[in-house]
Amino acid sequence: MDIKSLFASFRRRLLLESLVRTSVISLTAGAAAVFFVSFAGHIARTAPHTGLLWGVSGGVFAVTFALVFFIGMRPTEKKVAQRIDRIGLQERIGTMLEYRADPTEIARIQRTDAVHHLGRVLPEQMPWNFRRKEFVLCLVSLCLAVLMLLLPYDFRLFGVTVRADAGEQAQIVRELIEELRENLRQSELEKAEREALEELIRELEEELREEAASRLEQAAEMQEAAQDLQEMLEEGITRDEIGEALRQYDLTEKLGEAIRDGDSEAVSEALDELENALNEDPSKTGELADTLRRALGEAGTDAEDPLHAALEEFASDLEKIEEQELEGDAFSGELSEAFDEAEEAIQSALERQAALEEEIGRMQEALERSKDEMLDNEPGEKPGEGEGEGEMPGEMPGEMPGDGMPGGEPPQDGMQQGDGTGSGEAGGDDLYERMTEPIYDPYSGSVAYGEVFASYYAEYLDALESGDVPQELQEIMDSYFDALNEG
Amino acid sequence: MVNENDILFFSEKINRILGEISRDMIGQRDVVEGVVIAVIAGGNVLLEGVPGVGKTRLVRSMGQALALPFSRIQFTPDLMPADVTGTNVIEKDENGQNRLVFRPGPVFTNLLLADEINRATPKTQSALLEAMQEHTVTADGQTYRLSEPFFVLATQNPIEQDGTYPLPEAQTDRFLFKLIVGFPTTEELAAIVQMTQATMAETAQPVIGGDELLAMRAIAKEIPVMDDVLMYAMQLVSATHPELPSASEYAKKYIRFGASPRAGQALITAGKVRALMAGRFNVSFDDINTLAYPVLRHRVKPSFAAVTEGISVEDIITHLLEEAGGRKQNPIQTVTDLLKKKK
Repeated sequence: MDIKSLFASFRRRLLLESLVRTSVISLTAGAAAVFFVSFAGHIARTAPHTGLLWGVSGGVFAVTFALVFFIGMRPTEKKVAQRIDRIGLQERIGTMLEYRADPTEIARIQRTDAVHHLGRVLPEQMPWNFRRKEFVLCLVSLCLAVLMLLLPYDFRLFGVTVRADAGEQAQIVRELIEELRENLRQSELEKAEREALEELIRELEEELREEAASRLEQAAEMQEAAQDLQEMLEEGITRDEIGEALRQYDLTEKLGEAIRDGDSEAVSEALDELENALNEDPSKTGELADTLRRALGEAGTDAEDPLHAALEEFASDLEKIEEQELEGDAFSGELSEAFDEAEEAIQSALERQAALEEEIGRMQEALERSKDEMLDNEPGEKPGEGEGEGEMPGEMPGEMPGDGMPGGEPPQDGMQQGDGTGSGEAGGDDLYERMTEPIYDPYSGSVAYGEVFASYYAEYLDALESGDVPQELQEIMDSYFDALNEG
Repeated sequence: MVNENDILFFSEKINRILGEISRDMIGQRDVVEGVVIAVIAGGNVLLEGVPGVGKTRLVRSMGQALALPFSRIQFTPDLMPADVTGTNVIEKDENGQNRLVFRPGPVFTNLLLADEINRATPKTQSALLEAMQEHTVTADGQTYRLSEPFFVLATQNPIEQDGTYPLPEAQTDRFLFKLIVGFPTTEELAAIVQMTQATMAETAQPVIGGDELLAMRAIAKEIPVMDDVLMYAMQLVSATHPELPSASEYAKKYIRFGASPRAGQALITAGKVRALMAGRFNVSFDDINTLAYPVLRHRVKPSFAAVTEGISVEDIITHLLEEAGGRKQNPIQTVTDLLKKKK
């Protein structure tokens, strides 16, 4: 007896039903997985990666589908027989299936009777066995998953502040890190600078990703990274210091100016002039060497700095030429060779510094832009801008946060205004104007704390690391920033 | 081995038996079918009903239709066991010597009508125990075998009536079915009165002998039962036992004693006959669900809580069927039905 062909049409209907039900159940499980992963992400204040969400939900869907279908839903012959029997065949088909190999006459008669009755029913008579509960559960699960992914605002759950925009926050961080890395890849930096910047990016990435930080805290980290870059720039760009030092001397004034400006043509011209001057008066060779050494000493730059090293080497070559006491063509030849080598080394060092400057500038721009995005500012908008306000006292490097009020307004209620003892100025106002400004009016051009919080906080972290904040004040400062952050 | 001719023979005989009985019985279709199923399955039947609803008439009609030796015992409070089973009497032989001779009682027959069985004392009621189960009678250490087929069709009045003695559990368990004979409808009542104006005597004609009845029993036994149905019946019987770990809270609360294994045997045996009577060659869930009432109602003893809360044994069985996942069968839909519906 060919049971398969007898059951074929009924089995197709049940297979369709099983696939639909299994899909619904698996979809429920997949959506539940998305919900739980997303929920865990919210609790941990870290938005899960989109790939992780898709991976987990897809995996749960696939595993559930396989388990539910092959263990529970697959329309086996027995199940098909049961379902056919339920449309009024009174267990004829089930018995036929069970006794299909029975050789007795009564079993044969039973099978004949069952097949006869099977021919009187159609697959369409089998009612669909869809459970409303399964569909409702699936809908609820999907809604919860979508809701968890699209939480429109921050809320508190189980005492934890859950941030709805964690996904966007993570996206900003991800894009920033990608941009920084891409820029670095395309730059023409030397190995040392490249490694230093790579290390900085890596540390920034860790800081931003490891801490379940708020937007403001992450903006502060970006601000801090920008400051680190500034320090690196100040350490790496020595042409200003060296150029200024060289300008102090008549003999090297033009060379110093050319180096300070980073103008390669001017550097070549200045070196040509110096070479001509030494050819005319060889006795100045030693003087030039001494001048270079003095200027380098005054500049206070590191001996390993390429520009410093190039000039140091140039001075050494000049000293050697003087010691050789050469004359005529021999002198000119040696001098020419020394000048050529010096020019090449100086140009190379200047190019290297220019590349570093350019790269750090790009990185700072990216950090600034990401910080603005993180603080929901318009790209390029600076804290305190857009409302016609200048920078306030206390925003300048070297001052503690809180030295000035947002927007450069004087403190209210008789508080002492920032005294501007740092190098900063209050948006170009002079002291008199500042002293005669009206008492702080919170409704007149104030700047939201959110806009300056990042720089304040970065300053505070710096001060904390350098040990400038007394132990007894640390708790107060922490409370201050926590309060601002939560607000 | 059963063949198609046997099936045709079974079908024909069943129809003729039902036809003959219906000449004497108006209505009570379920009761008649129950009695026929029990007789073919080889079980005893206890018919319960108030006086005058046709219990005795049904049994007498059945006796006539079966063409079997038929005895009737009217159970009364002073009936003695020996009046049922028979006794040894002293007789003189040809030589004038006294000797004990066993004189068989009315139980030595094929079809025994035990009328108003619960009017006799429990001692007398118990005289039937051995005959009902082993189909033997023991008197003075001598065992006598009853001729086959043998079955008891007993009637009883509801136990709430005066002058009744409840049957002991051991005896009720030996009845395959307990059937409740209800009061006929007004139309049935009118038809009964019309019929009995002509004659009070039963008019059923003999249609089947003892050998044929045994043959029908053998045919029914061959009917296959699928495992699911068998397990379902056994689960139903187990569900009546409050002492089992698997018992439901309902069973623990409302059942004092559960059904014996004989209930399981009865469900399957009777289920096979019912299936054949319905033109089927397999036992269905529907057979089990339908037969659960006559098989279990005298085997399940409700608890005091059930009695005080007015929960009948039928209510308990209904609940157990629901708990056991009683499968409701939709009426069969044919292609014609489907096409009609589409139109």
